Amino acid sequence: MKKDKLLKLLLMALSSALIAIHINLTWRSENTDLMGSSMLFWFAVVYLISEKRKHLVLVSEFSASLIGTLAIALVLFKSSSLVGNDIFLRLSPLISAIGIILLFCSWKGLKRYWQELSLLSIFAIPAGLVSLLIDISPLTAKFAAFTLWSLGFTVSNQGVFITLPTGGIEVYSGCSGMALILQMLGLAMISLMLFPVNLRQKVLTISLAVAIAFLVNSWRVALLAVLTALGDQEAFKYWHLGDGSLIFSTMAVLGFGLLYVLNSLDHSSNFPNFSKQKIGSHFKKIL
Amino acid sequence: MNYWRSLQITILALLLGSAVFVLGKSIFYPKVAKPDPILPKLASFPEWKFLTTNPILNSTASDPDDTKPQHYRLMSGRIYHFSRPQQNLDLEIRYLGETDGDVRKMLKQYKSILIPNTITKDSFILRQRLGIGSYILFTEAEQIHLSACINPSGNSSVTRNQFESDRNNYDLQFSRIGAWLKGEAELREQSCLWVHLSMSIKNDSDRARYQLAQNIAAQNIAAQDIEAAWFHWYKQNPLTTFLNS
Repeated sequence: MKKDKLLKLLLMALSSALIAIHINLTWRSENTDLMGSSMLFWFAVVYLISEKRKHLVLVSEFSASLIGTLAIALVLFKSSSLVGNDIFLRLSPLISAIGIILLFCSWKGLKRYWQELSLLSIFAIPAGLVSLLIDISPLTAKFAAFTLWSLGFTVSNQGVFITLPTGGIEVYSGCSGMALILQMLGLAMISLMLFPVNLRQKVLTISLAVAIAFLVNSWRVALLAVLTALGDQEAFKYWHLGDGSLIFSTMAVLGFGLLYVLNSLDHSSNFPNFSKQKIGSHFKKIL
Repeated sequence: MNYWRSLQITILALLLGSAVFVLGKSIFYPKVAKPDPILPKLASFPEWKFLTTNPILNSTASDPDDTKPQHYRLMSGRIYHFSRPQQNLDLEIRYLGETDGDVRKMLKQYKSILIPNTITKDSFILRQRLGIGSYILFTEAEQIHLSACINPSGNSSVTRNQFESDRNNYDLQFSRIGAWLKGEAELREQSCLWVHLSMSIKNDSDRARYQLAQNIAAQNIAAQDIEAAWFHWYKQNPLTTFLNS
């Protein structure tokens, strides 16, 4: 039993070290999108696992331990020489989690911790890859043009081009909003796992997240088109790549949160109960 | 059972030790990115006299029309001027990071030259040469231009599809995994050496031929010189000379 305790302690230390390495490397990658979502996903995964902590039973099997050790060794080896914004930063949390789970709960653990693993799988999807398969930029351009038209602008739209009388923009796949959609999808999955709801609400939550991400990004594109037409370069840079671009993703997250809370208050069965009991008890522990 | 537990503890302690080591290394001695390649200060073409060379700086500071998004990070660039009687030749080399290999976008961003979506018009010719790859030829502002993006596998490409297929063919190989793990290579290299040649059209008769005969055959004759220069440059300057410097 003493050894089991030591083993659990080592497991926690190793997990923390792996998380710290990942966060440090994403910090250095200077990719604000990645940094924000990795914090969010790690927080959710650690929270979910700590909820199950008491029921953690050590199960070990030679094959699972071997694969788990190799997986963690791979992450450590690659992390030690990783530089910049490598795609591996998206994959390593999933590989680390699989490694840790295999080491301690064997193959059955993969099924047991499917929620955590599926969250990290969503984190592993790069927006660039999805954009190669599904290019939503014409749709983004169309909706942005529609928004401008409803605001009374003289605007025309052809494919990915939005043209105003004095200038226009071309919506490249990088600006199609896929990154924001994936980020919001992750957020929706996290909230569904933290606050379980029924199927109808699940579908609603996910579609809400995707719709908000798409809408907010289209508005950003519409604003960029107007700024180009006005010839305001400084403002364009600010809203395109500068801090301004972060304001829109914050807007998306806040909008989603607000609608989610309002919706949960309507169907008061799940969310408030959860919050009163569980979150209340957590506060007691902290205090 | 007890031995097994001890073995597990040993393995875990080893993993933890290495994790702490990696963490410490990534905090205190992070690996720094490879330095940007340095382009040579000399270039030569047979039959052309080398005049001068200047570095190309990132256009963000100087380009007055900088409302266009920056898709490709300019890591280093240089322009070389050449001449021969009645004719000038400019060679522009830009090393771009994080590209998708779309020369059309590069021309739009750095040279403000717009190429139509479909490169089938007579005035834009997409050509391929065995052992080199693809390049695009076109005339604009009384100059004949040749543009191509030499990707890390050493082939030249023009469109995003060509670039992507080279990435899939050359980069995604089992033998590269070791180098990738050691941080010496990207899984899919995204950089490219974009080479742009522009040559003034020689004399009035050539110019007239250009303006009158907008057909490929006529362009072929005038394009021979610039193509010869390109093939020469490509063969004399393997990509590795830039990447290792």
